[in-house]
Amino acid sequence: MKNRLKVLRAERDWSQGDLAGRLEVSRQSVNAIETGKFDPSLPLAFKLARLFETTIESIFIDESQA
Amino acid sequence: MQLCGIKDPTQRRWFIRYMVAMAIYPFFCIAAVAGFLLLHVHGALSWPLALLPALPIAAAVYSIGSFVAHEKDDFQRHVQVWSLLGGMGATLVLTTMWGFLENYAHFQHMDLFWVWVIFWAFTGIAFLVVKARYR
Repeated sequence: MKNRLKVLRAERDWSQGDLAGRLEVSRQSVNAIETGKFDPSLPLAFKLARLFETTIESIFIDESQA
Repeated sequence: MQLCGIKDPTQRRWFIRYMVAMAIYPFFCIAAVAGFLLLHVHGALSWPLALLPALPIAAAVYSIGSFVAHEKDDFQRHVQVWSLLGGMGATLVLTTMWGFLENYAHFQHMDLFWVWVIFWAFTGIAFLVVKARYR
């Protein structure tokens, strides 16, 4: 699933490792989600939304609705 | 403390249990072989003695399942599950093929002892393939 994680991360000057640390997941997880190769679970998506102080819909792009 | 990069204490416990089970396995194998070859065990005792090496394998399988179940990182759990599925699938296919080849093409008999070894070899390969997919 396409997403804006890289942009959101860059805005805060966070590395993938920094974001992984904040989410308590591996750096590989952040990379897989960021590149759209792996979709996060709903709890992780909510965690991302809380961390970036936004909504899930503004992070992830539902291509089926596009 | 980190053990093989495992941060979660519950997962670390299951990993240690797996390692303990696998460390016991060769001793149980030797005990079973010694029981049959040196002590000539037979009759009712032969069943539990023959099954002795399977006990640590069962414990190891339970430990692996618990390890995966306690993985909090969705992506890592996804990689572990697909690696194990790949290992199981490839082992089933290979051993089934070998069984038919034994029956109909006079292939050499494969000792079932090798199934566990083959499973881990295929799981290792599957792990590398799954990891490469997400690189």
